[in-house]
Formats: sequence, structure tokens, C-alpha cells
Amino acid sequence: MQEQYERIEAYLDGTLPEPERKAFEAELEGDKTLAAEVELHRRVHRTLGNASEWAFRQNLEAISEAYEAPAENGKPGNRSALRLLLGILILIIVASLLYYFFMPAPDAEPVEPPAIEQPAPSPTAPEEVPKEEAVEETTTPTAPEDTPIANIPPDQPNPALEALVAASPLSSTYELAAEARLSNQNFTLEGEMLSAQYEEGKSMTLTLFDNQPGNYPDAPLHTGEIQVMEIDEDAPIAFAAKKAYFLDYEATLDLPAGLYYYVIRVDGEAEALWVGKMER
Amino acid sequence: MRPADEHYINAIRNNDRKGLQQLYQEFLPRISAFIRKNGGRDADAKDVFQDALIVIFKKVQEADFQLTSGFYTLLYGICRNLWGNRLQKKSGNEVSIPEDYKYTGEAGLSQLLEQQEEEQLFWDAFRQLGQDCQQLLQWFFAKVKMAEIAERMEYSSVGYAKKRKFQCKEQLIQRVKADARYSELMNK
Repeated sequence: MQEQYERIEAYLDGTLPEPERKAFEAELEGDKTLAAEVELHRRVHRTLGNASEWAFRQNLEAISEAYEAPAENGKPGNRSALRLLLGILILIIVASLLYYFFMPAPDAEPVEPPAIEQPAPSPTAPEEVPKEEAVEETTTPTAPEDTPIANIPPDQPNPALEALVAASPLSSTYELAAEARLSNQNFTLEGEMLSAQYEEGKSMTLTLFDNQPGNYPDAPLHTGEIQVMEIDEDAPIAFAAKKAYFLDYEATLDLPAGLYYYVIRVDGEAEALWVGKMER
Repeated sequence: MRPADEHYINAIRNNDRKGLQQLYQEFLPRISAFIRKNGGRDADAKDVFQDALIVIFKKVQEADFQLTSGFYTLLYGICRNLWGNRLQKKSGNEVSIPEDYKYTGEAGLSQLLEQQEEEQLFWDAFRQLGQDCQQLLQWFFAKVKMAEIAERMEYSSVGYAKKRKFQCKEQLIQRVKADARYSELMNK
């Protein structure tokens, strides 16, 4: 078997001496199994012998591994920290209950019954927003139990909008990809859209928000209409039934440093098509 | 070509680590969203994304390559096709994305996509080998001489290196043959 492999390899390399090569080719003519084996070796060598593709793949694999590393390192770490906190909390509660119910408490000695609720705030404390950082908005009289929405630092991600960014494109009818940039005061947005449903002239709008949780979706910083241009119909790029469009938007905006989110909508659709973010 | 698109194409053409990292940051989340919406997981998205970049890598090596669309349109179109093909093979009619998923752009691209699917069979089999076999075969396929391989692998003799090469290649070939895609490939 090893000899057979070496013979095939020498044949593919062109190093098989002439008489042997002719004999081998004659054998190939009459032996379909051998011919299939040689073909398989040829394809394997051609694929796995491509040095530049090898280097490219190795680079991609390294990047791919590094890309998932933060998510994987972060999540279990957070989870185990949460588990530890929960464990401590449960332990404290159980210990308190045991103490409360089973410790003989002589009437003469006033023993302070440990407050069961007391340990509870400590594990949750890091997640609570300090009172002095709370927004000075007044809660509506109809919902006095609502806690005020806290301000967050201007560069901190807004979780609700981040989820939409990660899920974008949000519509399968209007497949959209866009990118916005802010250079000095020049805001530009470029995007592409594939859709069989888009009617020419239908208005598409861009709405810009800062990162503050209380401002989305009711308090945009800026709104404007996006220019939509159909990409040349003769261009070879197109999905069978869909047309391709180029989206363009420019505006002059004076924004302080921070994280901003932009939302793209089309008239007649309740849901946003795309939510992106940019930093200033 | 827009400057950002040119930047991405150059990153692929030159195998530029930093540029490729930016590509992952910028586009993988969007491709993941698409794959998740169509019955896949993030791991599938990574595979499809990587394979799509390899298709583009091959495409940009062509002397007459010209990007006739936006870069993301091209990337997204290739990912759609690759994932559509895999869905059809994997789950028959149970899960499917719309019939119009076929990306018809870029001359010669459909041939490259087909080639990519074929070659993936060999790469998948190769990845299943042990580390020493992978290393040995990598050098062998790169046409490094067996004497040099024996030295690099710290084998006692060239004869032993040849024997190991045969054993590793045999494992590779058997794994390829055991894959359901093999019979499909050889019947083409």
C-alpha cells in the first residue's frame, strides 16, 4: 500500500521514469478504481498544497479564535461570579433561618433576631445605580413605583440598542447594511440594500440617538431623509428577484464625544430595518 | 471602489492580519444575524464567514478582478449561497431559505463557490488528523524533501519519515472517503 501511494505521488509529481509512467498510464486505462484513487490524490494535493491559501487559512483561524475569546472568557467569568454571589446569599439566608428557628433564646437574654432581608442587598448592591447618579426626572404620578432611568457615561453601550445592532439587518424584506462615520462635524452614512419590495420614491429615514437609555426611541438627536439610488440594473450583482440600492446621507452635526446609534426605517414599515452605532 | 471596500479587499489580498481582524469585527456579527435567522448557530456563521473570505481570497488573486458591487454585498451574497447550499444538504427540505438566495453576481464566482464546497471536504478531513500528522503533511504537500521533514520532525531516519507520511496520508484519504460528500464529488 505504501508503495502504491509513492507510485501515485511520483506519477502526479512527474518524477516517475518514462517506462514506468507508460505502464502506469496503461494500468489506469483499464482500472477504474485505481484511476479514481489517482484523481483523489490529485485533488488532495492540489487543495492542501496551496501555500498561500494555507497561510491565509491559518491567519483566519487565529483571528477567529481570538474573536471568540473575549465572549467566552467574559461570559463564564460573569456567570461564575454570579453563582458565587447567589451561593453566598443562599448560605446567609439558610444560616439566618437556622439560627432564628433553632437557637435556644432564653427570655431573659434579649437576642436580636437577625433580619432575613439584611444580607440581600449586599450581593445586588454592585448592580444598583447610586442614588446621586440617578436622573432628576420625576416619575409619572400614575406609576410611582417606577425607578427613574439612570444616566450612563456617554461612551457606555446602551444594552437595548446594542441588541438591535447585533441583530441587524432586522428585516428580511429589506436586506440592508450600512455604515456611518463622523469626521469633525461631517456625518456620512453609506449603505446598500437588496429588496424586491422597495418602491421607488418611498421615503427612508435616518434617526440618530445618543446612548442614554431614556432617549430611545422618543428623543432623537437628529432625523433626516436618506437618498436612495438604484444600482445600475445591468450590473452583474443582483439576487434573482431583488434590486440593489445604494443609500447615502450627509449632514453637519456638532456632537460631543460619545457613543451614538443610528436607526434606518422605511415608510410603511413598523419595524426598523437597521440599527448601527458609531463613536465620536 | 469606495476606500473602505478597497481597504477590505487589500486586507484579503495581502493576508493582512490587522485588516482581517477589522473585517471580522465589522461584518461577522451581521452574517451571524443572518445565519441565526435561517436555522444556524454562531459556529456555523464563523465557518461560513471564513469560507466566504477564502472564496474572495481566491477571487482577488485573479489578474482581472474588479469589485463590481459594494464589498459587503459581495460578502453577504457569498455567505447566503454557502449557507443555502449547506442547509439544503444538511436538512433536506426541513429548513430552507427563499429560492432567490442564489447570488448570481461576479463572473466565475459560482465556479469558485462550487470548488470551495469540494475543497472543504479535504480541509475538514485534514483538521481531524493529529497535530503531528497535520504538521508532517503540511510540509509534504508544500514539497519539502523527506530528509528535511525527518530532521524537522526529529525522526530517526528518512525511511521512518516516509512511513509516517504514508500512515498520515492514509488516515486523511480514509477520512475523505468516509465522508458523504466524497461520492458526490467523485461522480461529478
